[in-house]
Amino acid sequence: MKVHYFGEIADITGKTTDDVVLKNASVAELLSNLQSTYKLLSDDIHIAVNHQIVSKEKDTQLNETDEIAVLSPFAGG
Amino acid sequence: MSHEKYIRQIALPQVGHSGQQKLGHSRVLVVGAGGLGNAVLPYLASAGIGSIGVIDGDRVSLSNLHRQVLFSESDIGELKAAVACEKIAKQFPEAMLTHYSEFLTGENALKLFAQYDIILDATDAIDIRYLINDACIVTGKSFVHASVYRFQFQVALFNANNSGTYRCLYPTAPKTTQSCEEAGVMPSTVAMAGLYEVNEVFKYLLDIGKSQINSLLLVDTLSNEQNNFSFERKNQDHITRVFFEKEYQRIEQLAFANTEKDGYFLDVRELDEQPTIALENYVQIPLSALEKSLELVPTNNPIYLFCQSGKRSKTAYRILQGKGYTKLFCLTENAIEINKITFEIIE
Repeated sequence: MKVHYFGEIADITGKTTDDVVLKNASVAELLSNLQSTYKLLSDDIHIAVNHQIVSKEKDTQLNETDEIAVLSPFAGG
Repeated sequence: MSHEKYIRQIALPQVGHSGQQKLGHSRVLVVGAGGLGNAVLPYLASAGIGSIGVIDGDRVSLSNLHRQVLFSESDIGELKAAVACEKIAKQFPEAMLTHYSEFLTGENALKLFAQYDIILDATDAIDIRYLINDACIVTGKSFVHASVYRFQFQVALFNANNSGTYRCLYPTAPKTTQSCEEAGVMPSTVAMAGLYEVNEVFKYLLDIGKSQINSLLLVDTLSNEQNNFSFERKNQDHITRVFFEKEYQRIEQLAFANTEKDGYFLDVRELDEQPTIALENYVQIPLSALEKSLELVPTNNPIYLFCQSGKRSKTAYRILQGKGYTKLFCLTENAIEINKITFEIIE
């Protein structure tokens, strides 16, 4: 599935998009994958599935065609 | 107000004379006079917003000047909120400008927010955004948010007409984030973020267009891509005045049994109040006289405050906190309970 990284997350991953291969994965599995691959802490990031930010507690099931965004709050101003 | 000055925006069917009047009667508080604050202030004033408040305790520095374009080198070291208002007042004398040269805190936020119609978040610290958010919920105000990371920025309108809040989007603060000072920023990026904020303020006040509610706009100024990410409104009933006071107006409390021997008991009741207290290291200074009697309050020892009900001791706590005292505690017991504990009742 296509994963887009924004802000500081893109700096940590070193890329703005990724093709992540996870079959029949849930949001929890994606978070676990991001933690093991990029050391992204689940508490510090937010996941949008097809432009809808999902609650991490609900553990939404993901489809191969879903467009994923990994977001975090920005501080600057 | 000269209508001719605003005739080009009055000409818009979505604005008109009634819309211009709405803007003229509106009160907007800008929290922060940094990059975002500098971007929003000229346009709030130029569009004819009647009353504009600016709160910031920071001072101008040389590294601010590339993006905080209201300031010049001669302003370095001066208070940002005061200088910004002075510059805006010269160009837009109709606007009623009020500057608060202090940082937004749990102590001043509620009183200040109550005086304005909408709050504009122009800060550069995430913890202050939670303070703004929670103060807006308690006072029933909406707030427009923008924040910047390098070439990207986020914009949203929170707590408007029962919409989602900053906590619905980001329930908890991340452990680390970088500010503009650390990450770097181009002046154009922060200016664009500010202009999106002002635009949201105008839409909200004029009740036109589609407000950025329950959805975060994320703009990448390098690719010119824009993404909207919707989020669910969550119940925020727990953000009450009591929650706010506990979260942002924290008072250290201590039981009498846990006091240390080197501490001083400060009774802030009036001198004729009963019961009288007999304790070692006991000082009685009525709350009304406290500020004039600070020489009687030791600075290096713990201070245990109490009164008859617990109300005045909290006020005294804030006064002493403001004077730089750090080892402060409000006793969980009041004078009557302390008297019973000490078994030294003097009728």
